[in-house]
Amino acid sequence: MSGTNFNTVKAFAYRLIANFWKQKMYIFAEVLFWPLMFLVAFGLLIKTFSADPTVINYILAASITWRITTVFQQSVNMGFLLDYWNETMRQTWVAPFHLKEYVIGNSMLGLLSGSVTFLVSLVVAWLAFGFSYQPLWLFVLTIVIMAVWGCVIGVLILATTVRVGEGATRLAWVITDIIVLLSGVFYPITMLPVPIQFVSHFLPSTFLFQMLRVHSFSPVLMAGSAVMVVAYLVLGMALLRYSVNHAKKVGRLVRFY
Amino acid sequence: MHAIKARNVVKVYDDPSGRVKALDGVSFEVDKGEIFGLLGPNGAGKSTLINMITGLISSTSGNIKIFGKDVATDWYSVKEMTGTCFGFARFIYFMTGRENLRFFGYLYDMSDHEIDKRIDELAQTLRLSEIDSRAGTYSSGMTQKLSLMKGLLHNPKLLLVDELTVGLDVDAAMNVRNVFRQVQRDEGTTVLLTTHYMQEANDLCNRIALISKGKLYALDTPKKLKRLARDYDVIEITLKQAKKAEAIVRRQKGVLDVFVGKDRLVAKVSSSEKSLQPVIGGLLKKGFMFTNLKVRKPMLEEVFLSLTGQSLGGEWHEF
Repeated sequence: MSGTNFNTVKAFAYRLIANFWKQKMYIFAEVLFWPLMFLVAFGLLIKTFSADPTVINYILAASITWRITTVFQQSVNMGFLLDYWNETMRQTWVAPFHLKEYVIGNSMLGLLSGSVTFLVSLVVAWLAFGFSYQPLWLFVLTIVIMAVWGCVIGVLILATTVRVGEGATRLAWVITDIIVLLSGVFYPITMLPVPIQFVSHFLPSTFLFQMLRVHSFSPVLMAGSAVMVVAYLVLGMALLRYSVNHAKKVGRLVRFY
Repeated sequence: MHAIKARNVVKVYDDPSGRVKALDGVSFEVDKGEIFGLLGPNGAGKSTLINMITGLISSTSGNIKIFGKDVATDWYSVKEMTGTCFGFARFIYFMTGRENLRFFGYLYDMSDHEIDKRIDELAQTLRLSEIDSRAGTYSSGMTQKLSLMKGLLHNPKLLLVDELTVGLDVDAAMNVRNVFRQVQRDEGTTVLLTTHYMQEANDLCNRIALISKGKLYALDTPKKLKRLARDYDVIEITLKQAKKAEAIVRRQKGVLDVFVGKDRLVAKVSSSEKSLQPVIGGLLKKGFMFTNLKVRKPMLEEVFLSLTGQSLGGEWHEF
């Protein structure tokens, strides 16, 4: 990748992983407990109301995909939150890095913990509910694009936090859940009020889950979703750059400590 | 080329109470390899200025160049050349001192070997044997040392130091000041430090800028700055109830001004020969007992006071 210093990427990845490795409860909660709790809860719920393997497999796949998206989003935001919690914002921002290195480096925690969450979830879903989504490659491709979408949501939250201030750090915990509601992960978006359906059409996750629900690949929907993710990424990075410049103007980076 | 060249730097904040001018047309140059001090009381604008040199705050107008690179347009290059140590800095709580520094080492594009070698070197120099303990368990003095290690880790061309010796014990502060001298001498590093310790600025800096209320009042070597106030003498008295004694001293012959600190009183007099006897006599007559008396030439504290009308913090800072 041109203009990207991999040592800088390594720095942010190293810091997050070294920090959270020492917090075993965090790893247990975020990588295993919450993803598996949701998976088991949704698995039991759907098994109670449906015997259709197509429906059961979709709900389990959607549940896993949702958690992976959250893991990646939170990973991107975690670098900033770590500085915020430890009051090390100034220390970090006086060191040389580009914003893309900051985002890629911080998302490495998501890659690591997301991979573990994905594999463990697959095994548990298979053992507990006989999970067997077909076609598997569609599920994996959806997971990959949703992982990137998770990172993009993280960048948008980051840009908002840097622009607005510490109050926006709470977005890191709720925004993916709101997007899940809007994307119609567990129901078709036609069940949503019409104005909200309009908003749903601007989310790549809406189309990805639409494909996943019918177990059928659509090149147009897949390509459209991927293009939307890239467009949001470009927009998110531009917003982040603008927010950093604004923060420098009003002295916010210093006030974050 | 100067290490730092600041031209007419202005910083205005929009505050709920109105527009606040934190810096008002500050211009100065720092030469390569010098130790340059920004001396001023809390709230003078020193930290704002240092934050602007690091690029964390952008200027409303004017510009700052570091070794010819504009902070506003070439932030990355400026950050590569600069090491920054903040007083009261924090580090990631759960990571050890070494792990915290390793993070910064990677950011400065150093290899693992270079990082470890430099950390061991600096830990020895600064006597930080707890480098492999969690940073969250460090005392404030140990954290200040870690902050200095972070600033020096990549052998920067310019070291920016913001009130680093505040809160350090005498021995540790002396050690830190020796490190500044050592990097200046051995590595040619330019050091810019902010302080409100008059004596620190006097002993350490090649040149000092006096800053107050966002304005730069004077800039010169400590020796030349002190000459600005050579046309008067100073009588310094240690006594109880200094505040009550102020009015008596102020009435005496040749007394130009009086400054009161805790149990201490400083009188600025046109000539100590003429004023010493009346001042002492006046106090004794009213029953004041004093434990120490010093007659001296003005120090930076008085120069600062006479130029800005403000003290360096309402008390004398000595160590």
